[in-house]
Amino acid sequence: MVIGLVAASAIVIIVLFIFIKGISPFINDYQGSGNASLLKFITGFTWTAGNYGILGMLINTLYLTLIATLVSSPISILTALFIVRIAPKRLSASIKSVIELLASIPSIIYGLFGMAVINFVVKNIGNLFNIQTAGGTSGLSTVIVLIIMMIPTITMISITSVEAVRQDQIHASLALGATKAQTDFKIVINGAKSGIFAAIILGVGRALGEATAVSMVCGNAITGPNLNLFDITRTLTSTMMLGLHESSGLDYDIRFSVGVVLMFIILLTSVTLNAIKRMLEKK
Amino acid sequence: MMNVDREKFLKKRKLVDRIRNVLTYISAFFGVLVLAAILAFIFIGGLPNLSFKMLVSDYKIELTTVRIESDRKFENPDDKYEYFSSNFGVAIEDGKDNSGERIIVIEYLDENSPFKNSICIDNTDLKDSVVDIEVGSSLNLMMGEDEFGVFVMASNGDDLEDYIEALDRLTKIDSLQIESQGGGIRGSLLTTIILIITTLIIALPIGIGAAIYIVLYAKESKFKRAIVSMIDMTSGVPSIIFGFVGAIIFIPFVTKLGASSGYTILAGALTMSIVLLPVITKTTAESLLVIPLSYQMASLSLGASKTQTVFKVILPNAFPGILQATLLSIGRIIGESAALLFVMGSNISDEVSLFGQSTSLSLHIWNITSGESPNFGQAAAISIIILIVVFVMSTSVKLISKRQLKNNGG
Repeated sequence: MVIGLVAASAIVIIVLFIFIKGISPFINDYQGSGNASLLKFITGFTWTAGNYGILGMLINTLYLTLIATLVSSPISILTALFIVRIAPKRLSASIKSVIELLASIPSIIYGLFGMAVINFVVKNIGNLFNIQTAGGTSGLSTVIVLIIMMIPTITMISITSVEAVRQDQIHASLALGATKAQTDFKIVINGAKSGIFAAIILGVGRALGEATAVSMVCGNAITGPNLNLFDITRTLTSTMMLGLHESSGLDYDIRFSVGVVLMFIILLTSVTLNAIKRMLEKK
Repeated sequence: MMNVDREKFLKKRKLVDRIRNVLTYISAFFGVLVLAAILAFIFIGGLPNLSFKMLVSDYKIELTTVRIESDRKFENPDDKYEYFSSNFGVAIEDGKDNSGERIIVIEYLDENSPFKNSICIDNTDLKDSVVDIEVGSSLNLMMGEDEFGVFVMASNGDDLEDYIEALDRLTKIDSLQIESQGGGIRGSLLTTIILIITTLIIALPIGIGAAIYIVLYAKESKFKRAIVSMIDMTSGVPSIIFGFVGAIIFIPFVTKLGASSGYTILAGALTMSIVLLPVITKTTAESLLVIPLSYQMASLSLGASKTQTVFKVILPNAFPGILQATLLSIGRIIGESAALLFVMGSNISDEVSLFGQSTSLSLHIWNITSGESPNFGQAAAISIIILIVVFVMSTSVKLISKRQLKNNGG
């Protein structure tokens, strides 16, 4: 009973503690540096020591996640469709294993791959169009890393929901004269719609909260928002990860405020997307 | 007329269908391509740097400065060494340290070589004592005078030829830097193992306890549903948030227990326990649910108490689930970086203790890639270790659940 309580209350404790720590930079007085201004924090576009503005990187985070979602969702849905409906049995099993392996790769390795390979590719693409990049570290690299990391998450859950589409619906469609491909693309995807949407919500959550890999490839721009994909950028999570040297003081504690904002954004996004999902289901 | 239209329609439909199918093939192929690219990068970049020596040597380079005098000449045995110093009876060759950088190492040492009587001149406890120089030791900055009193100098930036020439002109080496090989991951490897063991010791009992409570003891109620949904919610929290929790709660806690530094392995283990609790609880609960009710009934009707039933009948039958939870946890711990950065720091250390600061393998990668000149070769080598462990763990989990399914079905 007690153990159950401990396990369950973890989430409550997490939220409570981070919230308390997160608002302290605006209330407590830090010797030498005073306290941070809440107004500046919410509306500022620049992030330097003593000048903490979060709006720029907030827009960056949402912008990069949006692009990554728009690209990775169709790829993932088609992959799930391929595995469940189209591929021959052997091939389907091996592609599924590939996706499972991708899902199990830790983010530090995605980050390393991004730093060494994707940055290099992006740099060369930039050179091709005569665009100078900071050695490849850019918004584009971040988006590519996010896409690669979202695909296994979305695909795995989409597979379950595509498998759950009722067989009689499929048979009905085929009996009405639709071809197999028409059935797969119209009936199966439509039938799995809500599961696929849930998968995308989870993928978006993962992208928003991804820290290690993103901070390894995004550069660390001081000001934002940065909508040019070939420029360096900065996200909420990369701000929390990068330049971690001290373990006390205002410069350290303000990270927790960013953490509060991140949790709030993740919660808000998932609530909004869930609302959209419910609206779609009603139709 | 009708027929032509129909044919056109069929042709168009066939084309659209084909495009659709090709699209799914391309999408699926994209995943394969990504995995292949990652594996190729990790293995091609990492394998040349992966060696047993790297696994067991220290990260920090230890530097000893010595003076050496020579009063005789030595023979190059069978002339088999290309770079041989007849003054000191030493042959040298090019080498690579653990992080892949070029060094000069001793290839051969004559039995009576004056190198064996080199005297330490560092201002440490070792001062004036004889330093143990062996085949494989690496040489750096060397200064001294030749027989006419002319100053001679060489360092490991020089070619072997220049270095050996300098060595042969010298009769007395005033100062020679002997370096131990750095760049190893012994400390980080040990830290990772300690971290895994400690985390499992903390998290497994709590997670299994929670699962037993939820499945066997808790009555259907709002309260139980709340507990289950809260555990579900915890698994959706990004790991960087857990790092914050660790920094707020566990670092002060461990400091109170008597740790000198804020960053400790113990704080890391406590943080990872929170990360893993939902995984362990869920996996164990699932395996508890599939145990037939008749086992429980039989045990209870034989007169065993509920506690006895839980520990002697139910837990042994839940073993595959618990094993799965353990394997999943190990894979997760070895790959975790964001959460651990806030509680273990990123300073690589060779002295590992539960209450001391050191890095896990993932943080080791973070450290060597976040500087001005990232060392991708060694990072890829460490990634090979991480990837193999992670893949083996996830494959075994899959195999176990397949076997379970078979057993239950048969």
